Amino acid sequence: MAWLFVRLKLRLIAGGLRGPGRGGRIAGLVAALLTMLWVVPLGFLLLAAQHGRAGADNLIVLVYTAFAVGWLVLPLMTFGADETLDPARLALLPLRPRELAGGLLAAALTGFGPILTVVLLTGSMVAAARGPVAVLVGLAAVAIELVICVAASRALVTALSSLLRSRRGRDLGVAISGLLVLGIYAVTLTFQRAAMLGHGAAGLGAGLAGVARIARWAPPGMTANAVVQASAGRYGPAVLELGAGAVTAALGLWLWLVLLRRALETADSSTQSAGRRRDRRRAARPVPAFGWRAHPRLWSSRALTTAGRELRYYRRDPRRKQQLVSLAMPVFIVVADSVPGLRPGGPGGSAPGLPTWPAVFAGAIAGMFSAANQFGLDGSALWLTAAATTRWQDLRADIAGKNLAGAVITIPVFGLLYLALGLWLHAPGPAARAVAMIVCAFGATSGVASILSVLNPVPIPDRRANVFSSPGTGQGCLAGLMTLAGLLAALVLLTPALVLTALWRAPLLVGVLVLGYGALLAWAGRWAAAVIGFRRMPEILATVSRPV
Amino acid sequence: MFPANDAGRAEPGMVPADAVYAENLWKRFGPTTAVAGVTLRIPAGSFFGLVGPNGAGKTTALSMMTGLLRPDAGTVWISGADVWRDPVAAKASIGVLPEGLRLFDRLTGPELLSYLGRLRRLDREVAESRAAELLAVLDLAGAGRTLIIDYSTGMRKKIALAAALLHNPRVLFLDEPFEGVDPVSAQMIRSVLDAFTGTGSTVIFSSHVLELVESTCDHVAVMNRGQVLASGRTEQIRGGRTLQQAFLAMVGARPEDGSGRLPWLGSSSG
Repeated sequence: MAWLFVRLKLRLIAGGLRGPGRGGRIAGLVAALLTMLWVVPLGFLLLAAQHGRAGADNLIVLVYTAFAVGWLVLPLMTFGADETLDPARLALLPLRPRELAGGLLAAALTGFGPILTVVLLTGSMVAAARGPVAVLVGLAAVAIELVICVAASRALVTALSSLLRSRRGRDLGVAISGLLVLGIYAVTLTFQRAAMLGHGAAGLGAGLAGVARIARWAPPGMTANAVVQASAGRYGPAVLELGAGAVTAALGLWLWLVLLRRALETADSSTQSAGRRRDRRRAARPVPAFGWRAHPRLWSSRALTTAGRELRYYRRDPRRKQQLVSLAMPVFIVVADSVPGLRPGGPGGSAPGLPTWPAVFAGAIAGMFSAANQFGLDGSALWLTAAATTRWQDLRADIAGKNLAGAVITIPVFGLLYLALGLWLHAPGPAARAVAMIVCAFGATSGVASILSVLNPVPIPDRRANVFSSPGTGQGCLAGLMTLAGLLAALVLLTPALVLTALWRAPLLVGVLVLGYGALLAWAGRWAAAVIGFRRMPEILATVSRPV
Repeated sequence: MFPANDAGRAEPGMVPADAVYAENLWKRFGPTTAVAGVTLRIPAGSFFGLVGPNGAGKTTALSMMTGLLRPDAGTVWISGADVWRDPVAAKASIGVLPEGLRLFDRLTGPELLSYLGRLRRLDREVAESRAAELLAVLDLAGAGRTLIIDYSTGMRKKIALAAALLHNPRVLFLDEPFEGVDPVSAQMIRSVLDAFTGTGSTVIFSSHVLELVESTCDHVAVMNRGQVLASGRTEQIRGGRTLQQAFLAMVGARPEDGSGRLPWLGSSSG
């Protein structure tokens, strides 16, 4: 039975590598081979080369802990990608839970992830182990750690599987993955800043040693520490720590079996109808509302109609929520590049006031945020709008609405940020200039991005397939290039405004001119996008409705 | 081309009594030809069924007629307006319920109708009263603040129908409107459609449930492999048989019923 599951998993991996068409198949195979023949051995060598170095004892603890955390977190974000992990798919087969658990365990141990895990765990073991006894303890530690990783990961996924299969659970997963990416970015930025400001490597080493000191007390770290103890000749503690790891592994397996049995016997909440939940909610208002009820002119404005729907989507669509979370990135950058103590070049080295380029960057990100691939985000529901689009002016109003919704969200965030910076650094003039620059950059970028999004709409996969909804296979690279091209084009368009602010010392007049120039660029971009897009509407619709 | 067309309407071109006239529509997707020269005449006030096996080109043909998919060749007139030359007039007079029910599913039902009412430039009072009535008639008023993404299949079909009817179109295109719908919702949808055609408006719907088409539609067109095999009044197409028999004969399916095959199947054998 276990062998059958392994073969099923191998078949699924092969099917997954085989992208659409022959090119995709070859690309998948090349990527897999490169990973297996290049990245994995390289990782092993890099780790093993630490043998005898001072940090090796901490290294093994950190590597073991990192793998355990990775195994717990990654399946939550990619749930649904691996069919062999979902017990609900196998619930109808006449299998006993123990048989099923054996099969699922075998399937979970098959694949690139487990191979990578075993190789890198062994690499860090080679780094830390000194003497034949330590190597024996190390081999046992690798096996125990692998079981801990797999069992804990499977138990968690099984416990959450019904939640992850419901709409709300997946929405939550998307939001969490957005926060996670943001967290990684914040950590990277912090380290980068620390290195730039000159207290890098030593501080980093001390920090990691501190983490390792704590991680030694958790089961994965304990299992790793057994190797360190054995190398130092402390065999008693080594056996105890190894035993603690083994008990954890056994507990994990037992817990998984219990959860599996329960998952097979209870109803799947994802198949319950929506009707049940409905009763708890308030009944419909007698008259449906879509905001702006005050005035007939406001009611009939197409741009406001679209903006209203977009704002609702920012609140309800997990993809949009993830976008909102990603807005924190330009905020980080603005702060890191504006506050004197954080700015590279030292506290006294840079000019007083606020530099302009973070403002340009923030405005450009905000413009991309509100306009990039706007039809791909509508997805196949775009037909509803297309069926009610009869003139190019309709499309221009739609684009204006989307830009407006983006501006309503982003401009106040950056405006308040610069207000705070201006007050704190006693630089109201530069802060006002930066806000004008943000609005100008927003206008330029949203105009360019609108044109790009009618020329090259990118379909986005149905969120139900995977919580990570980036452009489809092979489209990501093209979409990224288009974004880059759009940013460059916007930067070229912004040059006059940049030159003007740098050379002319008449803040009010310059501010007005810069704002006007931004508005002009935004208007021109919308106009061009609408004229081109109106003719291409059926093609845009066909592209974004394509299942990917 | 029209073996069973209405007599006296054989000459080409738009006849005033036609709600929809499609002439020689073609669509290729790469190497496959989805629609190969479809000409259809749909009389005003008719309940028109478009039937055919999976992959016959029904959805592609309907998408081209509604102005959502550009044909490689051919012309479509709706109430006298060329769909691709005069989209303002054509799109104002049609309602569409497409296959797959792709809606803005993070809105609630009332929000979706209100949004579409504004996009269609309806008067606020008109849009709101129509939306409230449609929701009440289709038994969706209780769904209230539930997002469409949490609706059941039947509820999604009903809210999509409400969205298609909101601007009171003269011609309604429905792609598989009864697929995956429970009998109660199906009856509700049918009664709304009957009332709609009773006033002289036109309904065109595609389906492969032939019994349903036979009992509902006064006109039928049979499609296979991108072409119209026959089009006309239902009783003419049937020619005394059931629609199912006539259809299978036209599509060229084998008449055998499958008995004698799979001898191991069933409880009599081991």
